[in-house]
Amino acid sequence: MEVGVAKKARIVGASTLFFFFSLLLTAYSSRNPSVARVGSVLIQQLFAPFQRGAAQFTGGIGSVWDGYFWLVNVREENERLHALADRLRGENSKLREYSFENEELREVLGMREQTDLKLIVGDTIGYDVSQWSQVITLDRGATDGVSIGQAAIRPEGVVGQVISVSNSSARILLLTDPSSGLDALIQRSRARGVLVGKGGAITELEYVNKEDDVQVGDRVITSGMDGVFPKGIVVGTVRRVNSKGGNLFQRVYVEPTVDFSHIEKVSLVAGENAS
Amino acid sequence: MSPVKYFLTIFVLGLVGILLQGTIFRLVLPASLVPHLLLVLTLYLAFYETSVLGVFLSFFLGLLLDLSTGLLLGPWAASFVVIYCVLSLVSDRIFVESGLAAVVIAFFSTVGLHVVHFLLATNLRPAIGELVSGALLQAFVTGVCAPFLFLLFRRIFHDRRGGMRAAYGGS
Repeated sequence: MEVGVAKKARIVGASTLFFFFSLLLTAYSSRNPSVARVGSVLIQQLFAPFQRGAAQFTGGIGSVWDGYFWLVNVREENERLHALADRLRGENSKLREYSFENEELREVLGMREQTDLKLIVGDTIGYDVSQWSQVITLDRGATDGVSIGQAAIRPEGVVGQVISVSNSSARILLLTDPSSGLDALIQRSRARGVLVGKGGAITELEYVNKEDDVQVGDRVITSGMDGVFPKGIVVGTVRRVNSKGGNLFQRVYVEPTVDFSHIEKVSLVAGENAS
Repeated sequence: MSPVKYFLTIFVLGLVGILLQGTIFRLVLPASLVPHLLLVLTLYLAFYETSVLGVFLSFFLGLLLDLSTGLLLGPWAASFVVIYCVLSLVSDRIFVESGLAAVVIAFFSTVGLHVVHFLLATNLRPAIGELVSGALLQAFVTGVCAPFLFLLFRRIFHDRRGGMRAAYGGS
């Protein structure tokens, strides 16, 4: 299809307009995060039922895959036991899934009993569409008591923070996202800094004074000073320290304790239980 | 297809794309191995809907992606418009019906999309290493999927590029 010069000019003109409009929108929404949230909540409302269904469906497929297809060769070698093995594999797969879920729930319940925190436990039903931002969707929303700003944790440590809520789902900004930040301490030396996501697997503890004692292997915990995360929750382990250069601060790289590639259950901190 | 029906179809396809990319595929695959379905739809628009309406639709698809993230409105919308504009200007010189051309176009467009988005989202710069490898992997997967998705879109929209084959002397 021949695209005429006049048509090309119209396309370039319209693209330029839309491009600059997008930049204005970016600048405006960065100053007013609620604007982005309103639209996001609408999309969340629309997607939540599908995401929940899809999560259950893919969970089922995964269980069938684990319990059946990988063992096709074994089945061929044991044709006589075919029917019996199939049934047992199916049951075994189900039991493994129950056992895993049971173990996870026990951990969460254990965490609930160990702390005075009021927790809302939910399942991950969606991830961010792009790989540039680290956001997950949880199957708990405003009707379950979830609100913006609540801390998201797991028995291993901090997961992130709730950034938008619809009636039946919530979006959590993960610790590893570049827009994420929390006030943290080195547990051993009490050196303080701000833990910032870098978009990858490693986060950075910024604004740690050069004089502060930080060593590889030190545990990093929440300080509780940011008013979001309760004090003393594990965040990660120091993997690298760089105190060279003329800066006032040293660079401390922290590996989060939570495996962000496999998050299923997440607990949201809805307050503290009255003692 | 009437413009309203056309817009609604793009809207529904955009939503389905987000749902597939953000839920079904992501529950079983890492982010870098999930094809960029919304980008392929934008590429389709660049080749088959070369008009101001196409610019608006590509902006709209990018905005949907921004909304699904819920952090900032605009970076993806701007990136999609840039990719659409560049490709629509050369669309009459590329025979995208060839599977290989679709693969190559989709690969470089995915890389281009990530580059533009990266330039707009300055807070991502510290993670450049991991993001580059992720973007290249995604570009490859998107490239492989593009010819099949183009076929699907052509069926859905009944080949709005009408007469394309004739223009290139095909049967």
